Amino acid sequence: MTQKALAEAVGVSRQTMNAIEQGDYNPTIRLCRAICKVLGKTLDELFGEEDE
Amino acid sequence: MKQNSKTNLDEMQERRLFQIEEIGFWLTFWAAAAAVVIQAVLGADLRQIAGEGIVLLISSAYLVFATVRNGIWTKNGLAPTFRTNALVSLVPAAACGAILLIRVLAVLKRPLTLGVAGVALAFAAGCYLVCLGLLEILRAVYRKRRAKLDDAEDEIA
Repeated sequence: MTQKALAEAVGVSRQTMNAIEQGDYNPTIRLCRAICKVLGKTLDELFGEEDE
Repeated sequence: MKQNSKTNLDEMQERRLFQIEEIGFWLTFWAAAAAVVIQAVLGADLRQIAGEGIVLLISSAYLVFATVRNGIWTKNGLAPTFRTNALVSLVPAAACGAILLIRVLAVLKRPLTLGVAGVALAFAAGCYLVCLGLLEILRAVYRKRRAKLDDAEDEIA
């Protein structure tokens, strides 16, 4: 799925989606949940801390 | 997820816009403050600096009211204590004394005498007391507000 398609699906700009992916912007929990819903993933899978 | 219904911006764009507006506000604020100081030093009377002065007063009053209402003192770690207020008040007091002294010496072309220095010092001391008094009143209101906001009465069980 492209950034543009995901951005459109959750109702934000591609610029915002790119900033989230790059770690330049911390989305609100509401937006996190919307992204998880579209991608069919859990919050932990998408935004959880990775083990060292 | 919908964008803000009042704007056509998403949450990150809104946050960026807030940051841009914040910088714009402080640029305007300090430019107006600089304009007042420069005009005061150059000998402008109260009527000439009234416009900028009113803008500064209104924006300062809003800032003070809004921050205290939300239980915010500063963002740079200055503790709300008498000691901090006493130290911070020295800045505007010194500025007011210096502006008066420069104005008297440069605009009114008076020589620097003990009397002139005394008047400037007394003016600075007056400004210091006013600033300290206002800050102490604000500190008391802030503490009261902070206590109310930290009260757990509205916590959902």
